[in-house]
Amino acid sequence: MKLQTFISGQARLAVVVERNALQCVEAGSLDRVCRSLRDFDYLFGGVTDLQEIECRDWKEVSDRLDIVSHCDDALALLLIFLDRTAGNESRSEALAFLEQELALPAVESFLWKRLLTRPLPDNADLIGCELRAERVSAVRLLSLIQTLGALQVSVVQTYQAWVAIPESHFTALPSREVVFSALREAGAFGKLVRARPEQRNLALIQILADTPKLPRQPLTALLKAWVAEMGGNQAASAQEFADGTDEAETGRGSRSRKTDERPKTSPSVFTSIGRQKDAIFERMRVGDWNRAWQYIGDLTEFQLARSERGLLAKSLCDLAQEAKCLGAHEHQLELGERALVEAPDDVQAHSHRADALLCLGRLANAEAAYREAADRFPDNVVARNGLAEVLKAGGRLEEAEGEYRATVSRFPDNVVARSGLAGVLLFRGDVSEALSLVSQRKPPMTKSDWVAFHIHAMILFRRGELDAAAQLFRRGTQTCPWAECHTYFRRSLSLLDLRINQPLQAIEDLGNEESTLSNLLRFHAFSKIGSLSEADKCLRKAAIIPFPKCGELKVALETRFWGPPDSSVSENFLFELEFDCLLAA
Amino acid sequence: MNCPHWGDTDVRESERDCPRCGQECGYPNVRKAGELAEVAALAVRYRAARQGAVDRAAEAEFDCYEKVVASSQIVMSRHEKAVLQLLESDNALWVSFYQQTGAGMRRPEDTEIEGDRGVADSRLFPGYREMICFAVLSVNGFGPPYYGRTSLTFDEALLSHRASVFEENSVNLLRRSNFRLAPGFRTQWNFRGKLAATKAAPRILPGLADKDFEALLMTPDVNAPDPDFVEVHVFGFLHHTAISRIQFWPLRDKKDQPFRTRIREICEDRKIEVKE
Repeated sequence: MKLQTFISGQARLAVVVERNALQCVEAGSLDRVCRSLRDFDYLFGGVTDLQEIECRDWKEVSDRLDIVSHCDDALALLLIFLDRTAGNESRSEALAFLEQELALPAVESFLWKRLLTRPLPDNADLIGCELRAERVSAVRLLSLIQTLGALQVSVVQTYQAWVAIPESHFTALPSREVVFSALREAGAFGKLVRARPEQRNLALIQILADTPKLPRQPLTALLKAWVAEMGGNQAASAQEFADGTDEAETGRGSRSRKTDERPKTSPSVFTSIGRQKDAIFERMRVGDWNRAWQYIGDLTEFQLARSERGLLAKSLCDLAQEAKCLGAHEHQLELGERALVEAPDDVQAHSHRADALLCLGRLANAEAAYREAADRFPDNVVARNGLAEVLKAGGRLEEAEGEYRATVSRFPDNVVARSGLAGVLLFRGDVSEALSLVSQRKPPMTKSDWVAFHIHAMILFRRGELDAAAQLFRRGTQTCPWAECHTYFRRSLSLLDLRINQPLQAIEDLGNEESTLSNLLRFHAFSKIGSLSEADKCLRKAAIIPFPKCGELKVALETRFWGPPDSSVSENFLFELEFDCLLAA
Repeated sequence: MNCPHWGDTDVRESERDCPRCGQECGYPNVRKAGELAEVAALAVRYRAARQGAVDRAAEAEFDCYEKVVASSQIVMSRHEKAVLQLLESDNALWVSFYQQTGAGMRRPEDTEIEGDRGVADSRLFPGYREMICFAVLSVNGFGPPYYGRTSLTFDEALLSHRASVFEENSVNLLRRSNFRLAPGFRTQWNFRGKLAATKAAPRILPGLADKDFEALLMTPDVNAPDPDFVEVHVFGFLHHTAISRIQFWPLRDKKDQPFRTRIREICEDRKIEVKE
């Protein structure tokens, strides 16, 4: 006879129901204690991980309890360790125990299943965790944190694609929540997160095999829809996936593929380059640029030795993109220029160099670089958008609008061009056409979608729909996975706070943003509350003027708060200028 | 009962609001404990218990114990991780990875354990079982440790209006009375001293001092298999902002240390008192 067992890792307790009484076992102990049935509520009070299982004997009860308890301990400890708001003491203690817990394969597997289901929220401190783990040589934990960081973009993409699956796909399935739980337990999220776009179909076949309890046909349709939402090579993959499911059913599997379908370059070479790039990314993220450039030198040597100039340029472009994400525009420029030397015909290299110049506020150079790229590659939408962006930053709105309109007419679905045009139209007061360009039906997934999402929120702001705008800005700060986009959302939110006369909130919402425009907004807020010394510090930090409008704002702010009392600069004037700066930035 | 606002509408035992006018008619558990039959039966028991104390020359001790329990608090025992989860319920990190993607799928009240527990619940809380949280009365801030080595004291002002008090572990009492519970074993919050003194009367002897009262209210043996205590039934959910104090029993598993440290840090931020 099987034992009806209730088990909770949070309580580290298993309870077996026997003849109107409860037999309890604690984790790590074989002693049984008899309890009254009423105790059930007390014993499991407040827990949210209660499971009902059947066990063959007490040995199995004890073993299952041990695993569940270790897994739950590890998850709870990891959440403390990741939490930037937690104190040093608790994080250090959590680290010590976590490293031990991770030695158990079941625990590591459990953690990955959960960590890859959802993006990490803002209060997760990956860099801090990495440094702490490195300091005490917690090897397992360090590896987990680094991998978790590297997979975040993919986690966001996978989760957002899951959220975007239409409800119609769940009608023949138990419910979205139940399917979510089943897929999570099968490690489905992790499989998709780790799969490259061309490997997703194979991942889906594995997921289907791992979830036998869910109805096969509707689940297959749902999985296809999920992958389609993730974008990538779904058009080709639908057929491949159909082929793959057939293979899974007939038991042939992927091993039966012909050998001539293998990539021409050895996978081990890609793996090696991938590892070198990962090591560089890691150094870049912790600000160790000396070591990063040393590794970049090694990578260059390695790829040049294999006569891979084109691929080297792509590697350098990847690194430039990461440098951009980290706000290291000087390094981005250097990487873009090196990529250009290796592959003068690579449009991506041109774009990276020009983009870095734009980010550094060197507008004339950026315009020249983008014009050169747009002339050489007239069908390249990135170069055309970049040129329009430079013109907009320089205040040449008519020219920028012309460039954007030309791009939109040629590439009507390009989100970057549409949101750029919307931004220019908003500048010029044409709110309704701007709104029509950025109205989104689906939740934002790509970075461009998030930019469009920000423009959408700015339009609402301009129309005076402050609550709705604030809600979108906050959503952006909380859920957008691209750090550089957070800057836009934070600054906009801060301006909105200033607009409704809440300068303290404006300062708080800016967080640690240190760009010139952020410091000018901070200066405005501190001046409003009369904290002149803080305001002065902010003004000193706002030394580099990235675009002309920003210079105008700086002068206007100084005049308003530090100029003569009868200054003609009003709050409304400042708001308009600040709003324009946010759009131009 | 009839609606106290409009009179002629029957409000069921499990209903909090009048189905006709929608106005609140009181928490069902508190209403039940305040019914005339309950109050009268407890008064009879109380008079007899006090008379017994007078006969044993323990009248002063009886009155003193009643007074001490009249200032007792609502306390819950919880495991460290469950406490942390409650305290972190506004934290995005915890909400994302613990509550929504936690290991299990069921809460205690969702399980279907048949037998005495189900019968007892249907007798005590007909139609509103899922709205009741269980706690104990405590005069020193500690709850029974077997249920969790962290004791949470809740702010009386935020809970007492929806709390009723029961003589002991309700399943045990109902089972002994063959599931036909006579009135007089539950009461409203303000009369908890009387109920506890009535229950403990046979054990109140001359010469008992304040230090002995804790053991009268709750089993002193921390490892007792079936601890005795006075049960509190709270209607509705409990939020972490209602916690006024946290006390820890001595640490038994060193793995709980990081959780305790984190609990202390949070309590310091939120100005919640912590005692070892």
